[in-house]
Amino acid sequence: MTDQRLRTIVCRCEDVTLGEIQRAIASGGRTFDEIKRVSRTGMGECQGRMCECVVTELLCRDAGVAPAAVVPRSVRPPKAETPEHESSDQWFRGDLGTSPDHPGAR
Amino acid sequence: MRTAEVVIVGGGVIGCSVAYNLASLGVRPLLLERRSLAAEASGANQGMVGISSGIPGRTLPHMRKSAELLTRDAEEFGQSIELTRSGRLTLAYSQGEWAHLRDFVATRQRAGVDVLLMSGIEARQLEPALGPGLVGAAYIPGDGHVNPFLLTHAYATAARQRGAEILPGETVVRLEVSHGRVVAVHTATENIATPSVVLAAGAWSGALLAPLGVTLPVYPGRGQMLVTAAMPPLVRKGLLRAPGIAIRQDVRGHILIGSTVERVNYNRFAHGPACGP
Repeated sequence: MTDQRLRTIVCRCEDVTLGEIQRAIASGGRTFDEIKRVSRTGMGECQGRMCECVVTELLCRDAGVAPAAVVPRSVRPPKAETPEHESSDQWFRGDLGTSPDHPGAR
Repeated sequence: MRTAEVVIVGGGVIGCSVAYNLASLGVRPLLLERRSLAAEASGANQGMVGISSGIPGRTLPHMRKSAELLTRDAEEFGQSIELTRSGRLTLAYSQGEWAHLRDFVATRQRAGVDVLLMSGIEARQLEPALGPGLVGAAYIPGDGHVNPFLLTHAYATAARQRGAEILPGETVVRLEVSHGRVVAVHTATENIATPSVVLAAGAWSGALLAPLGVTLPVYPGRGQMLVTAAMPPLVRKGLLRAPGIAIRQDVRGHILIGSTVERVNYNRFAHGPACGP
């Protein structure tokens, strides 16, 4: 495959290329989440909604994963950055929860 | 029936490093992972490498040895795991915290760990972004951090290259025991005959042992963290600690701030600002 094709961006949120995803598969990745953790594909704003079908297609075509045996990815809401003052207010008000074992832990 | 010399249950950092070490010794282990590699605690942590963590006389020597082995393995992987041994600052913001910190330093120094006690001014010279009000700090030069996803996957990749078989998406439902010895591992789809099982299922290990009458006091704990967008280097040493909080800036510039420790069984839903009330 030409260098040009390997540089195709598959994950637009984290700028992950086809070549990087193929390398993650070649090193043994067999699920979407494994490819994600190694390459950062699907870790950005859309949380995998754009790259999932390409990665799944490559897992089936190149790694021989049977379509019926595809392990579903972790599903999270799209990511939105929270302005610092909002998140720290909630953090220090304790809205993020405390532990009965570690009352001081945040 | 399929057979295996050793079956490892769990594809976290422990299971994958055991697979790597066994495969390096010429054993061909079979690793079964319910979801995907580093799916649970191994992929949800701050990636700290602490030679000063642990209980002196008990787990402290293990932590030091672990950091030593990790540094050795990182050189053998041939791929980056973003391991940085750039040191850690533990901060004290009150006289109470300072007394506790001096005690921490004394016990570590007695155990032979290189730890330095310093004033607030000295600590701010090391980390200029620190605010005022710092009473003092402990500096541990040997501590550091690692990308926990890449670490687990590097062990898995190196294990596969050495002959280990690693299967994600395979759930172990039962260990079969006969005459006091394990003889097989039952997954949802097949039974695998084996004389040896390494149980590395983390918070799920107890559930596999309970039917055998073994009680394992290991429980899940939910930890929530804040993560910032990638930003220019702010935390020079990469790692800061104060009571109840730890801060790490990874190589891409994201700052991880956390974390909570909550006993909520296996609930892993975040309930921070990003997810509404």
